[in-house]
Amino acid sequence: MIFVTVGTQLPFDRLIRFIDDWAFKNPNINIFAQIGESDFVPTNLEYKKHLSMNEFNSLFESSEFIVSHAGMGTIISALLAQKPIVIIARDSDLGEHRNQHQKATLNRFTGVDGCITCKDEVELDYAMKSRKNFKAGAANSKNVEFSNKLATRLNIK
Amino acid sequence: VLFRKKTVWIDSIANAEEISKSGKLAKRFSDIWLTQWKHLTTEDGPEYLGSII
Repeated sequence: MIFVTVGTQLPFDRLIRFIDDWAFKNPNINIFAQIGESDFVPTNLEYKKHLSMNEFNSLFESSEFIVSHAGMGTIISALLAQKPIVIIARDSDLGEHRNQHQKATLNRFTGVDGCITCKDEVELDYAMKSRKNFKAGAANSKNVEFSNKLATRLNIK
Repeated sequence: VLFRKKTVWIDSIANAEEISKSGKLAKRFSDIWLTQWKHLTTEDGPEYLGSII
């Protein structure tokens, strides 16, 4: 199963339209999409606007790979779970976010193991064609290390 | 210091090319002002103490 997610904050019609079209052309592939408050209604795939934490985690775990907006929450989840993640950034020129920070995220994760970054739908289409070659990345949470350093900086024992 | 408590701003790791607008506004209220990207540090801050991943 391919799990598609646009995150909790905003819809991402451009991604969902692409995936719906792709699903139409690839009817044998199981896709589940979390689409947010999308104006576009998919007709070729299973979807839900929002997911509970449990639903999200279980879909995430059972997927072969993730397709996502360039949201740090999803990227971190994918790296920690060692799932390949295909990433396309929201473009604020198209009204998809407030500013271009997702493009910055996309650039930062280009070349990172497990992250397949796509500048546009053409690259996304190419990425989906090469899905058999996806390799998972890996990362460890540095929460503890980070909070220890902060505690030291604050002189908290 | 606000209400006699130390304050810390940790800018989201999502801001990889510049510190967020909220972060810039919060600077003057923060005892410690942090970014999660080393390349965003400058002499006047933000500081870098690592990141969540």
